[in-house]
Amino acid sequence: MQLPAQYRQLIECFDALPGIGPRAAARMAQHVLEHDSGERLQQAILTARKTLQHCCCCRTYSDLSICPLCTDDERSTLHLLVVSGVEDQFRWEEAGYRGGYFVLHGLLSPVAGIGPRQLHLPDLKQRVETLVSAAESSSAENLLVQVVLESSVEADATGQFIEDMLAGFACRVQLLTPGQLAVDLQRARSFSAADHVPAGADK
Amino acid sequence: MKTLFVLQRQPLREQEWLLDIFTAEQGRLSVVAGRSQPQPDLHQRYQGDWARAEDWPQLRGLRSLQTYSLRGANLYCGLYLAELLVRLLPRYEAQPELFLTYVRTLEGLQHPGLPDPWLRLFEYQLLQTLGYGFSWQQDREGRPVNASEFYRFIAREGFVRSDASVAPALRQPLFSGEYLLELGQGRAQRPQCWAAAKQVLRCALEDLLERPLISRELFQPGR
Repeated sequence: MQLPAQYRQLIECFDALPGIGPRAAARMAQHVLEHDSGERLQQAILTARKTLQHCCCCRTYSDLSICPLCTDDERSTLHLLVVSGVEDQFRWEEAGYRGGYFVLHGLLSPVAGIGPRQLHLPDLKQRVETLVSAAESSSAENLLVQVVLESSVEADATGQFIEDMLAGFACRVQLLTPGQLAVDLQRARSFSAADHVPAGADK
Repeated sequence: MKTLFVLQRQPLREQEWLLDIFTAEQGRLSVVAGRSQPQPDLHQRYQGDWARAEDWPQLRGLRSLQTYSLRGANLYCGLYLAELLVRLLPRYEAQPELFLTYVRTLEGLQHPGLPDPWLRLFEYQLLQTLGYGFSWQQDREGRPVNASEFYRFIAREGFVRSDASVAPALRQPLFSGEYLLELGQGRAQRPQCWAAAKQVLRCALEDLLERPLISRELFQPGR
């Protein structure tokens, strides 16, 4: 028996999602057709896709072209934190980091078709260029770019590529593990509690 | 227990990884690994076994045997090898020789010297495995390469003797027979030989790829 084309197409769409196999895709297709949650899922996807975009500055998800964090004048412009996902940005924000961000939305993974362009690394380069120019014109100290990624071959390659890409800029680049940044922020917080120096993990 | 390498990993459900692995016995295949096992990563030789399960075979008893520590540009080379295998290797076909070459290449890339010879040997073995091998010492008609002649390379066919005055019009690079013989006889020392090998093997591989390799972009961070 040939199943309806629309049903097969729905299964194919679920099957194409990362980490979903054909059997799980079939279960999901049945679920969204049989339950009210299917309607809510449809609406949530449509709304998110229609209203959300990448912030033109840090590439986090935002319903504005530039997100509230990037328009906040109180934040340090001498610290830039490069993270792999929005959940990392949330984590470091909660931990007290008050510099700028750049969200990669992934790691370099050529086997998965993810290269420098897919991670928008040319945009990161341009952002650093702008921040470096601003720091130079205000005679401030050098920009500190911290790349904070979990340890893996792909994370190491991503950090190394960013370091190589920024080699010619008047900025410091640090490759850190999340544990190292957590300690850094803890230390910065204890120093800055009294005088409101932004916790940007200065070493 | 079998020896395996992870070529790609992606999170699966809440507690698992979906892995693309490379083995000598079954070539490339997808398996699922639980997150209670050591976190699987590239550039490591593992021991493990797998059994049929619902969507993909379930990997059990994963144990790291050796970590290959690749630094600098050699780290990108490791990703290049993995991309070549994922893009070109068919699934479920035994690859004992290529597997051994992969092990040797990763071992070679751990050393800080130039990666070229290791990469070229791997690319050459990969082409042989895929059925697109060629000889450095013979032209496409099976005639011995002459050290004093020049040759152009045609993907899937081999070397064709070429008149140095005609070749520029064809816009194809010419390769000295001398370099080709040095490569074929395993005595290539000069950088020109490896430069020629790189051009030839790139031409042969690009002919098999539907789109450019992403990993090549890693070698140009300034762009």
